Amino acid sequence: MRGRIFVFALTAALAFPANALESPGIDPTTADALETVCHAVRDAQIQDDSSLDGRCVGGTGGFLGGVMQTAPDTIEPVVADVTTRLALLVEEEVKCKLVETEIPQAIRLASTYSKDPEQVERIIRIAETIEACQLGATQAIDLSALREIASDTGA
Amino acid sequence: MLERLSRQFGVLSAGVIVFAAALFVLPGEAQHEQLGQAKPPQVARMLASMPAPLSERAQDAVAESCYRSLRSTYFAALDTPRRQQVLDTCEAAMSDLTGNVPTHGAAGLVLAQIGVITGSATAGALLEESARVSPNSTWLRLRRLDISRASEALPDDAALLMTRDINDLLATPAGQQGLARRYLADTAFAQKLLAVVDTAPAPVQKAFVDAIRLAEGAE
Repeated sequence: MRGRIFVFALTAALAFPANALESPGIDPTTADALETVCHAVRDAQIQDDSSLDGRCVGGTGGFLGGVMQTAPDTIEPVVADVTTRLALLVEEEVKCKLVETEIPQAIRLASTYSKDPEQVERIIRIAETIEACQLGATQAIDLSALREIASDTGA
Repeated sequence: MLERLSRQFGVLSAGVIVFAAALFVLPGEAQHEQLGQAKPPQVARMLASMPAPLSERAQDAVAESCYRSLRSTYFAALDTPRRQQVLDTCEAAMSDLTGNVPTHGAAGLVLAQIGVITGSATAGALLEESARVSPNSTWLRLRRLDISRASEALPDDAALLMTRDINDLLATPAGQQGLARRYLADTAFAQKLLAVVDTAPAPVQKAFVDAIRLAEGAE
C-alpha cells in the first residue's frame, strides 16, 4: 500500500510539475511562473503571513540561475523583464506596506545576474526607490507616470 | 486602470513577442497602431522599419510610444546597449518629425526628455524649445514637469522653466488637478511645488488645496 502511494505521488509530481508555490524546492522555469510566486508571496507578506517567506527571492535566484545556464547571452533583457515584473507588483494602493515585502530584495538579487554594471546600478536604484516608498518620484518607477498619463490625456 | 496600463506596457510575454514579430509583415501605416503595446527594444525595431512619410496620426503615435518607453520601468532596467538603441532610435525618429514639422510639440518634448536622461548640456534649451512651440498645452506642460522632476541634476535654466510651468499650470483647473496628483505621488516634488504655490495669490492657493482634496478623494 505504501509503495502504491509512493508511486502515485511520484506520478503526480511528474505529471503536474513545477507548482513552485506548493513546492519550494522547484524553481520557476518561466518569468510568468516567477511572477505568480512573487505575487503570492507579496499578498501573504502584506497580511503578515510568513509562510511563503523566501520563495520570491529564492524563485528569482532559481529562475535567473537557470537562464544563466541555458541562455546566458539573453540574461540582461531577462533581468530587465524580471525587474519590471517585480516592480509592477508594488502597487501604490497599498501604500508603503509593500516595501516591507521581499520584492525589493528579489529585485536586488536579479540585478546581480547582469554583467552590465550600469544596468546593475539602475536596477538597484529601482529597489531603493521602492524601499524608500518614493514610487512617484523618479523615472526609475513609472507606476505613477502611467496613472498620470491616463489622467492627463483623459484615458 | 493601472493594472491594465502596466500590463500593456511592462510585461514581456510570448504573445507580445509573436505579435511584435507579426508587425513586421503588416503594412507600415498599420504599425503605429500597435506601438503603444510594445516594449522599448521592439519600439526601436518598429520605428526603424517604418516607411516615411508618416501620417499625422502616426507621427503622434510614434512620439507617444517614445515618451512612454523612455518613462518605463523596463527602460530603466534595461542593459546599456539596448537602452542606447532605444535612445538613438527615438532621437532619430523625433529629429525627423521636428525636421518636417518644427511645431510638433510632443516630438520636441521627447527630444528634451532624451536630453535630460542622457545629461546633455542642451537639455535645458530643448525643454525651453518645447515650451516655445507649444505654449498653451496643459498636458505637454505636465509632461515637461514630469521629465524635469525625474531628473537628479536639472540644469538651472530647466529649473526656472519648471517654476514657470508650475505657475502656468496653477492658473487652470486642469493644471491644478495635474499638479495635485503629482503633489500626492512625489513627496520631494511636493516641497518644490509648495514653494511656488506659496508665492501665488490666495485664490489660486485655495483652488490648489481644493484640487488636492479632490485628488485624495479619487485615490
